[in-house]
Amino acid sequence: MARSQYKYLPPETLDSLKNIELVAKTMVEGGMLGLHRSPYHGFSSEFAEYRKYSPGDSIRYIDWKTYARSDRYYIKCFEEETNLRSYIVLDKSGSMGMASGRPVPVKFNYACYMAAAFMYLMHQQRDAFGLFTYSDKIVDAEECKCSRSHLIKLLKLMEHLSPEGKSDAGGCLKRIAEQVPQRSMVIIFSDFFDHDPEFLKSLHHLTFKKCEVILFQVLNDEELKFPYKGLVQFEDLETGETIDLESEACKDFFLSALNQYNAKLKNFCDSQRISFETLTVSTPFERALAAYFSKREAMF
Amino acid sequence: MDFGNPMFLWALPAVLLPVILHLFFKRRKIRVHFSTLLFFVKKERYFAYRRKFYELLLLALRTLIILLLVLALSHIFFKRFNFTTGGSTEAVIILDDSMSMQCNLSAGGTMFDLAKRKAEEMLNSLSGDDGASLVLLSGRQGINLTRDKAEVLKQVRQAQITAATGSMSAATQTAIDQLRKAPGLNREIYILSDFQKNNKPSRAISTASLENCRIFCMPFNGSSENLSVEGVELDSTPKIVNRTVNIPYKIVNHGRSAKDVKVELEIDGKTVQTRQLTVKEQNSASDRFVFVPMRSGRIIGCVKIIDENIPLDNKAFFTFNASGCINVLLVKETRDSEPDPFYFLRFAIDPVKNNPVLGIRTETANLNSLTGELLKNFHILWLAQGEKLPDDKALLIRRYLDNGGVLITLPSGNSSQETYASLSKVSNYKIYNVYRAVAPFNQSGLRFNKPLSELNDLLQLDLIKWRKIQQIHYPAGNAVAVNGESAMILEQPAGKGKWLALSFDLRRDFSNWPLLKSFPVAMSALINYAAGNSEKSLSSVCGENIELYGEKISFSTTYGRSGELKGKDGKCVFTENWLPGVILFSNAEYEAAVVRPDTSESATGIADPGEIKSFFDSPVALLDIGADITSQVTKLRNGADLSGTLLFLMLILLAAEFVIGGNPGMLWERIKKSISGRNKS
Repeated sequence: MARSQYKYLPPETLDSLKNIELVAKTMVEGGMLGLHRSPYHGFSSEFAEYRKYSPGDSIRYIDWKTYARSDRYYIKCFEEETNLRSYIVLDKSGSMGMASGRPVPVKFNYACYMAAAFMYLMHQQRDAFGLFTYSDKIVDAEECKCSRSHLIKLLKLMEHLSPEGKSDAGGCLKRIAEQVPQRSMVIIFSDFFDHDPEFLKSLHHLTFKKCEVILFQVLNDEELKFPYKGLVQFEDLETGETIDLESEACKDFFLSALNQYNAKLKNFCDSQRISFETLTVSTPFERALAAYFSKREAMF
Repeated sequence: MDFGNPMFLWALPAVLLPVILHLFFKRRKIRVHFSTLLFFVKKERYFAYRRKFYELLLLALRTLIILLLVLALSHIFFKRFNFTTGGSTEAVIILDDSMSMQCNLSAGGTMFDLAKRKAEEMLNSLSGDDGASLVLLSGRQGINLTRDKAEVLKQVRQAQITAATGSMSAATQTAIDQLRKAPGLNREIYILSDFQKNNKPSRAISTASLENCRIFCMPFNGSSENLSVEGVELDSTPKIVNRTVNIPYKIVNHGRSAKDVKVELEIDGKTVQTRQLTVKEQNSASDRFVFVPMRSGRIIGCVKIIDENIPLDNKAFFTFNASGCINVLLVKETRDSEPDPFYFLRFAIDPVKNNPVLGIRTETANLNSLTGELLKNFHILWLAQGEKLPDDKALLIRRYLDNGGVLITLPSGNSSQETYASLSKVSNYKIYNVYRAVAPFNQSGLRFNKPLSELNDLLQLDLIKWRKIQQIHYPAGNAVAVNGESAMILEQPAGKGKWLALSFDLRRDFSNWPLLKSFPVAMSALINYAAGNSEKSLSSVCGENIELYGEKISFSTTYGRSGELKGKDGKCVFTENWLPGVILFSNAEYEAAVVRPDTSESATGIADPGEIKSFFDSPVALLDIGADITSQVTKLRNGADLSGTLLFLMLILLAAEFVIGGNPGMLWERIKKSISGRNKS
């Protein structure tokens, strides 16, 4: 991919992602060999131990030198290096389409850029990656592959996505958790403005399956700073419900409620060993990505 | 609405100034598509609503302040009626002179006295060019519209209370008719009345046909307590000297508390009996006096009570003519050869010569000697005729019947269908010859109908054996006695009197009845019944006209009035029938008239102001009779100046605007800031 022609993976991004390598924090299972340690002992270059030959074992792995010394058949076992299966989960509900004063759905685009970057990095590491998008139901479900054509397919798919509809994060994540194999990596991009308790249960379900879960909360500056003044009519992007408010009078209450919500979510994530990151669309996503990986590296 | 300085109304568009400023500085509502509303609590809407309400309230206050200022400067007047200043006024005073206005006031005097004073007060407020008239509610003659107010004043002062009721609709219509012809620009009707609830017109009185007309009502309210005497109606039996006369009465308590009342029977101006009664509130008590007349002739009396409120309904008059006995003239045919047809009857009803022990005195005469003068002395003419009744005698009898006489006829000798036929030929009024041919009748018994039906149980009438009867046929008549389908005694009205036709004679030719013991009792009862309506008086209510036949009729009343009525086309009308009492007439078919007060006026229920207004379909001004009438009327004519009120309201609103708008605080803050800024510099 010398020269990117995809919306969410521009050429300048490719350079900044060159040296970033995603390393899974936990051991994961994989169908292909990669940088990640697997609990399954297989036949690779790094020796692990000997074991006695038993009928049915391939004679390819018999250590003839040991046979020569001991006159017994031993099979050489190696610690297998496997590739990572990661799933990008993208919230495409209406709330992600908040425009932030510009005619483009900034939050959703930002999430797409981040998702594209992750997919590119996976591809570079020969790790498999899949994609789920959801609103009130799972809209797209792409299985894990690590081929270039798969990357291109997913990048093109994302270009055609637009945020719309209501959000049912709880229900959708529950179904995703059922589909995702054990020890996968699940990266979720959303604003997580879902007060549904089912959502937290679904996250718990993923951790129960020993998946590594990373939550990226994408927020606008308007949501974080609430800069409105005077009489404002707020329209819910998902329900269409409107409410007239004196913005100055309810600013503090809103910010306090948002912070409380995020703190509660963060506490839950910490208890479940889930990474929770809040991203602001005003921060360039490459910088945000770099910051995340440097933080992640420090964890290992 | 009227304006003293209408020039200031040009400033009315300034009212739009706050609206324009409000629209100019109105905060635009920003519409934001937001990710979620879950973090907003619904109660936060309150801030936006409060702000909006606050702004609208201020806008309304500011608009009102300017509006009130402009209206106050333009000197606004509120007028309920159109009144042309400088034009003459035509005023009709409707004075309620009905009996209920005799109600006492707590301050003393009656409502009628106060109403007259208020009418005088109103008349005095009129200027020299104004016209005035007086209409009395009872329908009594008042005075038409005139510029001579002194004459109207005199009429008001002379007005007397009546025991009649009044019609508000009729009085108002009279006023409207007078005003319609009047030249004045301003037309006013003043109604001085107690506006009794029971006098409320069935539909609102319309004054729509009269332009520029104003109605002023002065409601009077007196004591609600009142007792009245009603129901003195004597029965129709003949009143005989030394025989009891029942005088029933009913005392009605219209008030709100029970009353002990002394009831007196007054005969010829003297109290002869008294009773003590307790009458519950809003209830009535009935009783009767039993009186025995000791003299013959017309007796006038009343049942009276002592009650201070509305004295006119404290007396209920009655009159009757007491006679020494019932005088019966027995007339037979001139032929002496015939047996006496009244032989048994005379023994039955007048057994002792010159001593009417049964209250019946008989006298016997021949048909030839029958004259008008003779007939005047008898209540009943009993005629036994066999041959055809001569026309001249028939005419004589018809005149007797015209004046209320009673004729009893029976067959005699060779009676036939033609015997009494001449009575029906004289044609002043319709009278039927009911007799048919004499025929055998082998039946027994007799049955009296009401009101003599009590005799059926008392007497052994089934012992009567009939041999023959002269058949009676007149389906429209009233059968006093019957045998099966056959009428034995038939009554038919004749002029003001009546004719009782017997189908049998009073000897043994037709039956055995004269020999039976039931005969004298039945004949006495029949004579008493026949003479029952011999009373020659009529009953009337105050306010009604009394019509009498005659050319020149003299009258005198118990309340001291007398005079002479002059007839027109043989008829006289007594119109000044305003007070209760007894009126005695001479040269008229009635000897007397009992005049009662209108009982509807005894009730003291007064309509409230809302109901008074509903009497009329046009706006009505209620005047306070406790205050000066002239100033009230002047104020209503000129209207009320609202400038002061509007300015006061404007000041209140201005203060409210300062408080609600927070302007004083802001202003003070600005002043403080500017002072501190200068000090620093």
